[in-house]
Amino acid sequence: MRIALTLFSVKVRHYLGPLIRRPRYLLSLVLMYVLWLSVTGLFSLAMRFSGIVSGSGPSGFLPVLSEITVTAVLATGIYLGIKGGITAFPYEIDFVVASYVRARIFLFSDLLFQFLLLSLFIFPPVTLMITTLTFPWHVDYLVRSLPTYAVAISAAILLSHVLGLSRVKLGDRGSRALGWALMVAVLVPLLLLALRVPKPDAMRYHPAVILSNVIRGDITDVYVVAPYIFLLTLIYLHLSRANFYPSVTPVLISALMEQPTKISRYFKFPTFVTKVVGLRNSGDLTSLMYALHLMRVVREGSLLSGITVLVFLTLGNIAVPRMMGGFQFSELAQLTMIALYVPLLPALLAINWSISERKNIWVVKLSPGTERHYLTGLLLTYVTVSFPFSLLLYGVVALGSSELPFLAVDLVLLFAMSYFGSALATLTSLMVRIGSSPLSLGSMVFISIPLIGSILLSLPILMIRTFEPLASSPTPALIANMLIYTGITTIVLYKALVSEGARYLN
Amino acid sequence: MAAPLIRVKDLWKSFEGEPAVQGLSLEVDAGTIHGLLGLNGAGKTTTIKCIVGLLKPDRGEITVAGRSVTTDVSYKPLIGYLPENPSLPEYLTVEEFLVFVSRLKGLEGLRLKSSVSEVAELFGLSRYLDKLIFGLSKGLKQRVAFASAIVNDPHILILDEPFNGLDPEAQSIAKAKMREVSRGGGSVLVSTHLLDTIERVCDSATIIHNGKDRAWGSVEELKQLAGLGISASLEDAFLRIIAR
Ligand SMILES: Nc1ncnc2c1ncn2[C@@H]1O[C@H](COP(=O)(O)OP(=O)(O)OP(=O)(O)O)[C@@H](O)[C@H]1O
Ligand SMILES: [Mg+2]
Repeated sequence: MRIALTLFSVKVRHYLGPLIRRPRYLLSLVLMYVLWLSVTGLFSLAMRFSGIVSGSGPSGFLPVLSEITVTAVLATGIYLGIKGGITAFPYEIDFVVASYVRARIFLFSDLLFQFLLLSLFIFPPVTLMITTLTFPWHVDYLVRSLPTYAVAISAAILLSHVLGLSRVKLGDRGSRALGWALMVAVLVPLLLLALRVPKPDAMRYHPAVILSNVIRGDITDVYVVAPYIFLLTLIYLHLSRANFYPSVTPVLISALMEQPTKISRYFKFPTFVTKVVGLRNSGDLTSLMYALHLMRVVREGSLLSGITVLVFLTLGNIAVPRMMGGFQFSELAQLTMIALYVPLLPALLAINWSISERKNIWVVKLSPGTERHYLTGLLLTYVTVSFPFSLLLYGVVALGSSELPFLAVDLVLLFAMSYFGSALATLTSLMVRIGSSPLSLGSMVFISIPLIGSILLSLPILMIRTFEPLASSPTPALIANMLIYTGITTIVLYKALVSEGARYLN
Repeated sequence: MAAPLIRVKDLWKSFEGEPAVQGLSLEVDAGTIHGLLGLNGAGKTTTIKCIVGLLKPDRGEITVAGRSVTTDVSYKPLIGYLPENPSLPEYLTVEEFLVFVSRLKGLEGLRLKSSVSEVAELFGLSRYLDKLIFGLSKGLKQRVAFASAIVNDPHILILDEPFNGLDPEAQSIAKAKMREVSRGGGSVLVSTHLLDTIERVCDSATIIHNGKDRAWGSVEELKQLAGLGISASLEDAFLRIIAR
């Protein structure tokens, strides 16, 4: 037990990394955290008001919101499980796993750690959300929901560990297949909601549904969830007897990445693409760097995980308003919303850059004058990835709509958000050095700055989008103005990146 | 006598107030191999990083091929550098990495192609050219890093513990390359803990202690400085000098 606690505390220290030593970092992080909470708060407040306006009251949103958040918690656990489940840092693999510390002790310390990690990200915003939505009955709701979330978090960690442990029995592939199967199973109720298919009766026994029912007030459902937890614990105890040490992988660092695989072998780029992005071709240095970064994001899997996140968000974006009933975005507003979270893609790529690629830039620094090309290539890669992909998502979501009155404004907005997000993500990852792991608190900075920053920079366009006659039939002059604004901001950001950013490239 | 190709004069560098290098000076003449010797934490890597321009000196003057490294980066194409723990882009294949580095160093077309296959051949990497660096063993990665340092036939080699993880075969290849560079009128600056290598390969060496140069000279001169005879081992001489 003492050993488990020691392992736990060392792990927390390692996770916090430079934050412990540098108060300056800690302060900026606390600010970020507060900012993040206020975003959650504002979002809840907006819903509360729109609830009042539409007359559906808090009870209209809460069940759906709880179902979404509970599902998200469980899905996070499963995702971690697919990636290896037991979160280990490399030092733990070298010194703990290789030592004679008993496997279950190590497992227990990780259980504590994951609980802390998930709690940190889940409890404060959830508390805020529920309070805002249910005030003045919030005490009632909180008393019910916080323990429920604790149960959900525990279940998520158990799932994550069980999946990690199952590698011993099922092998990597089998365990991953099981993981994705569980993922689909967990998402079923949300999918049904989104497709507006009425829930079959059997869905009452789905864990996510049960937990969200408890939050809403059906306390008796607690007894239905108990068998699940019991079963999960049994499997857990059984599996944890196996020697799982050989299959432990550094999840905390690779949460958003894959081992570099020869994707090129399975997935051949067409020749005309390799002509443009090959390393060997005698383009200028910018295209060399562009090729390098494109190959990196593809091979190390950052692109794949980034795209997965965006696809999930888009599903949520389509589903949530439908599920909310009273809280209805117009279908057309949904399209515009895609633009608002597109900067997440470059943000995730930037997190991975700072973890896996920053240490390689000595190669570049040895050749003077190449830094500018390196940064341009990086920015270009982010933009090439995020802009077309946002168009694709837009296209898919637009399939349902018969007309697209806001197309012109939306396109400018999509470009602006992709580009601004890419530039801000690049700048942030250059200037901030606290991303020890994609699951670290520092990642919040990497995500919120590009996200909030590019929304602020796109405000002029967003404003136009909200004024009905302006947005649906923009005059040529208005379009020209938007383009000029976007163009100028694009150039300014680029200049800032290559002149200022190069100084931080080390 | 030509001016030294690498000259460090009164170099100071500290990290967050902790001094790492304190007034170090050294010179490497053209046509010689110069060793850097010192205890762990003596300041060898810090000195080398200042020379190749990866760290900015707090004070002092460094010139490489007559150019001051803080103001004139045109010396960089002349050097080949092998870091202490080279971190390589693991998502590239060996060939892609060597091509990438060659392109950074300005090689193109046929010259690039032949340089890459030459260094790969030299270090026995031909078999691994289309393997990802990710899956290579430690020593193979070190071979790749060494190969990338010499791909453009640099006139000046700066090597930080180059033999780290290399097998005897690769070590002898590396040494032969170092001799080739010095015979061609270039300079090699090498930090290593392998004293017998210094004895056999280096023309001269600097012993660094607590961030300062303690002694300088050929192996024989160092032994004399330590008050020992020619037949004494360099190890004894080294231990005596730093104990003073
Ligand atoms: N990035 C850094 N931040 C803080 N201190 C550093 C940093 N790099 C080096 N130091 C400190 O500077 C001193 C000199 O380190 P350096 O790496 O130059 O030693 P070295 O002679 O290369 O040792 P070794 O033989 O172990 O490689 C050490 O005390 C080290 O702790
Ligand atoms: Mg060193």
